[in-house]
Amino acid sequence: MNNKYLEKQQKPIEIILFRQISSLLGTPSFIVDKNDTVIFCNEPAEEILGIKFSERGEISALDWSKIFKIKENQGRITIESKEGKFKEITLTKLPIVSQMKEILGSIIFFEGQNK
Amino acid sequence: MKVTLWGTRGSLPSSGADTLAYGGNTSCVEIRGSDSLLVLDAGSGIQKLGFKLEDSKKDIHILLTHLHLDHIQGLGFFTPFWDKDREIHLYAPARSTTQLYVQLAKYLSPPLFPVLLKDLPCKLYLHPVFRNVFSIEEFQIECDVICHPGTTIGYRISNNEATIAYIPDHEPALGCSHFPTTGDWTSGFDIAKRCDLLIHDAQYTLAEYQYRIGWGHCAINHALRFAQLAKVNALVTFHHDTTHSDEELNLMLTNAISEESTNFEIFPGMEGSTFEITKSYGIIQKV
Repeated sequence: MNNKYLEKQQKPIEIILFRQISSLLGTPSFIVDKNDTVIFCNEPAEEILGIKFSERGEISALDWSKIFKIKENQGRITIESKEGKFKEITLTKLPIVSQMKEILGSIIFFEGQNK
Repeated sequence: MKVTLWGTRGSLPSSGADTLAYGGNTSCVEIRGSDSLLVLDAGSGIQKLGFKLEDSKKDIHILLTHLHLDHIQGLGFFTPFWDKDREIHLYAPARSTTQLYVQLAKYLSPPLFPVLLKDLPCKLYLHPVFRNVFSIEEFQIECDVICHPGTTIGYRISNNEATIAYIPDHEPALGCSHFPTTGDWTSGFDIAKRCDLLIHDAQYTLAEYQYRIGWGHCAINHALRFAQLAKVNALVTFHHDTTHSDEELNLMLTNAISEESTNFEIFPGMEGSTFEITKSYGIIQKV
């Protein structure tokens, strides 16, 4: 048995628990890690964004901005999904910070509608 | 590495004729290396450990997973605390808003305890931990926060011979529709993965757990699945419910083993059990 300190595989418990909550909510939401990589997207969010996160897997910040052309105009945010549909969305971003003040990521709730 | 179980019960000590085999003391585990000693948690079982400790061991290191009463209620009755020549190091979860000293003093002070923490004769040192890796003599210790109400730490302890993981209060299945999923999304996985001996919460049957979701404890079936996911060498069931008799605990274990797919050794966590773990001979249990 390897008794050396092994490289961390597991996400922080704070992120794990936020994913559990997100997966149970009807509110569209996704979770990014501290590098802004999308690490989870719940089903209501998948519906709006037109993606199947479970098939696609994690999306880096760079890929995210390529996939959904994000535009902001006077505080109103629109995204263009790969199907070419424009959606205006409102975002609420909540940082996930540990008790020891480590920034672990964020959960982002949003609402959107087709334009 | 030698591991001795001084208390394996959860929530409340449970004495009586029908708990003689598994024992009634709350959580306490002794870890011995070639010349080093660690104590994991200070439930009521720590009292007996204190009587057995030799005077030559002046420095004692106690790792607390959290400050729920069943994990600290033995502190005031631990004999070395009353020895002015002893140096005792307490490791416990850090909190952002309250110092560790203040948290411990809530219990070790009147009206809950007649003696103030500051008046204990020993030399007491407090060490807040969170997500740390540190060494105590021959042991390397990794801590991480795990899923249990309040800030709770799981410990992974290694020396040249073995690695053990200690997660006595844990609800890894919380919020999961199908448990387990994958290791990277499972609380406690890094603490437990590929260890020689996992000591883990196994408090409820699956049926009992359905009415206790969010209480911070584990169904025994989930404990076996967690151990399987983490690819441990052996599992010790722990934190037995205060209302479960020896007969019920044996039945729980038998049923869980028959229901789950496992390829590791499983030991019932019985007070007084000792496990000797070496690279050469693996795990030898003495009850």
